[in-house]
Amino acid sequence: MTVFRSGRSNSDLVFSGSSMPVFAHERLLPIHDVLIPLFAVSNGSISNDSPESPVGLVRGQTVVCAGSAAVSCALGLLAGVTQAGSWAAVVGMPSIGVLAATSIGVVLERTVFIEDPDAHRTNDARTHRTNDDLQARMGAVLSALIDGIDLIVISRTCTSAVSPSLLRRLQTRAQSKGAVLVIVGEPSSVSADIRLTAHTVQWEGLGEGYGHLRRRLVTLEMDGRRCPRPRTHTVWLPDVHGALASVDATCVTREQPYRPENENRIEYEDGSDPVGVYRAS
Amino acid sequence: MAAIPLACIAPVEHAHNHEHQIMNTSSLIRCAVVHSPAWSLIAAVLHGRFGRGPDVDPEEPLAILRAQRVAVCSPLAWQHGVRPGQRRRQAQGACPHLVIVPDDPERDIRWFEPVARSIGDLVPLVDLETPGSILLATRGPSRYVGGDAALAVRLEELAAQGVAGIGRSGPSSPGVSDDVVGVGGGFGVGIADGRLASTLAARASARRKEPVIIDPGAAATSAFLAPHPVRVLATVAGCPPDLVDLLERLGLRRLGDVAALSPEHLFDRFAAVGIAVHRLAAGTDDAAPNAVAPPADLSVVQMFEDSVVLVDPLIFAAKRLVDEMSTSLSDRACVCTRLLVEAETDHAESSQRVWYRAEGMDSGAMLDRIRWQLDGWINGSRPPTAGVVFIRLTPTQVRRDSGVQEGFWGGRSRADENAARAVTRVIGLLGPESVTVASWQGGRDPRQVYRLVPFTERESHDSGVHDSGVHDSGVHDSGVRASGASRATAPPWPGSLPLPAPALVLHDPEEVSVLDVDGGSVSVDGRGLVSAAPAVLIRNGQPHRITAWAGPWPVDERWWETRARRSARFQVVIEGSDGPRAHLVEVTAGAWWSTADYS
Repeated sequence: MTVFRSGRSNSDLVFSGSSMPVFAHERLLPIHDVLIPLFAVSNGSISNDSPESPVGLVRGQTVVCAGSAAVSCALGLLAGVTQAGSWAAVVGMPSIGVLAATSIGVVLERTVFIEDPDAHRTNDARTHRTNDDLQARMGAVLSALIDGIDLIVISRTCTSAVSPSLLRRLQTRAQSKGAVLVIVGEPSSVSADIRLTAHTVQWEGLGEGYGHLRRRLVTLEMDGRRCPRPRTHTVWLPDVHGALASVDATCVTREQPYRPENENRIEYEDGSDPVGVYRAS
Repeated sequence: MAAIPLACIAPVEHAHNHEHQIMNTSSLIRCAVVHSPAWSLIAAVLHGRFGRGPDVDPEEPLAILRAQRVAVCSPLAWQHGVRPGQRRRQAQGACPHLVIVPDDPERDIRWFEPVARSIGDLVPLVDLETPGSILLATRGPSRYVGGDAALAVRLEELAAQGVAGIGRSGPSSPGVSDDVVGVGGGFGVGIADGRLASTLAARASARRKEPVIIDPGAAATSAFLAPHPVRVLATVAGCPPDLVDLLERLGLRRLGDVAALSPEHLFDRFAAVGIAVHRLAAGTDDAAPNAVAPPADLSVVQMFEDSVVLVDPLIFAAKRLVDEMSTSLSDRACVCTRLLVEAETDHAESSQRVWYRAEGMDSGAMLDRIRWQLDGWINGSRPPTAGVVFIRLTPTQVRRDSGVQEGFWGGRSRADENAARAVTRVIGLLGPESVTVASWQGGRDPRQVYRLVPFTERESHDSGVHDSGVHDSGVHDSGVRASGASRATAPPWPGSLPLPAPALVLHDPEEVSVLDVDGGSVSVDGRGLVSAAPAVLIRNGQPHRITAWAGPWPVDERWWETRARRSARFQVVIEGSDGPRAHLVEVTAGAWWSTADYS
């Protein structure tokens, strides 16, 4: 079994070594509308801010999502890509919240969840699987996915099991096949083309003993090798419906405009305040 | 007509209706099929001898593999024990000197063109389904040559002449000898009512080495069809394979078994498809299931101002036509099963072919057939004397595109195919359980709302022709949409967590401690009251200050059975090293667990 099959790409697009011209929009995977301002200037050669120029994830790049809202940030990327008809795979993240994914806009029909290729290591301890076996298995799985699927979300635990040299080869393969690797969490040894750090500014809706989590203000900070100018963008991730929303749009559509001083006051529908009673007692 | 009293019209009309009904039960077009069971082998030999292909010796046992299994084998190979369906290893075990011939449909159709043209001398318009099989309506030709028996003999002669004419430059040159035709098992000719019966008759004829002619009429047709396995509905008549699987599992192994059932019962179980299957099996109708009348305005024409001599520019022009037509067909949710391709030159020479494909043609399949036809005509042995000035494509039979055969991969895009390939490969590497898709099931706990089901199970579930899916296979529906619909129409789950949902749900909850300001453990009593305000969350030995919290939200599930579970949920926002983090924590029997992370 060869891990890396040679030969031409079976993907729609052939990148390296091809003399065929590739249109700018073919080099890109679409992103969620809310993230467009963040990506608008990062795409290297097409770095003008004009609205016509296509904006998206550049195929072949490796994106690292870090910070306290890393998973939601990766789900936001997944949403844009799967909505546009591409396929996505989530590798080694058994605990990903599918409900949150759908509310952010991930299309589940085109999302497959793949368990950590190393998941049975404890069960298989008797077989003394060597590290080489694991690397070969990881490489085979990830390269098979890279061959056919546009966006591959990998957990940090998965990438930390992969040797740096194998990871580099996978990145090269992704470049030639036009797939985007999204690594969730802060990996130790990955040269990320784009690093998206999602800082939670604040959670709204939860008080001291009352309310419930309603929405979260997140600052997305983008830097990395392929991002000439670091840039930040503030979004609701998630907003009150669990979706990804831009801060301005939320202010316009909500009945009450966003007022930070008002953040924790949740009115009960029937006007009572059981928690107040509780706090008084 | 106006003079006829009204009272007279009614019985006349009634009689006409009645006659029409009778006609309807036996009004199948009488067809003849000329069939060569192993045409691919004849084509390979011809290609080696007269084309540019590798030499294939007809004296040796030959076989062609498709999907790693023997698809066709020559009579000699059959004598050695090679059978269709065997794996390569088994076939070579039975016959060590077996020669495996590469599979090439384009080669097959190209060398079939002379045969089609030879028969075309007698009947102008013939249907081509697969290379090696020609269907034609017998009404005119049969009358012309003097009956069905004479027609069968004539067709066999014409087919043999067509092959013999290949490579014959003059009347004196030897041409193709009989041994070549022998490789393919000769030609069989079957004449019967309808496409299904005549195709089966031709297959039988190739085995028996004599024409098989089934008497006209529904009784004779159904008697002929009855002993055939139900599997032929998929291979010949274009029924979905899953439906045939289901029929077999229900114990209906022969067409006669299906025909013996009452159409009402089949309709109850399978809706419109059931009726169609019954008609096919009983020999009363051969329209594919879901056949609809072709829309009138679908034929597309391309005229060329300057006549085109080469094939490639013609194909290029045809591609545009095919795209246009497949767009308008898919707008109507139809798929073309029978396509008439006509081309005409400046000198009014024309090439007309009807192409049939039971499972429907997408634009690629249509374009392939156009290429086969034009290539065989223009680069063939009797090329036209002028360039082509006009191409017309007419779908003569369409069927509702129910999406049943598409299964989980509802779309037809390249991305879907590539993804299917990638997923199949990963399943091969990791096992079927390790690749999953999410399926909605509902529940109070964020962990339960979606269930991850193995991809393979999901795929078979979605093919739509299992117990639940088949009743509406005529409707554009698939399992994916069905699950979405169940989510939209399902009643709400009172007590479920309000949106937004956590981005990480821990299927193995992580044990934590929740302390109050004084460092005492926080507890919730039986009435759902919390002992003190939570102030500190200890996770992995690290204390985090709780800045906001809400709860307890009691959960009292399944109190009526032994799996009863009582717990209370809290949402907490803690101060993390990289900003605030929100968690869902749960207290059960005095122990605290972190069950979800709003990462």
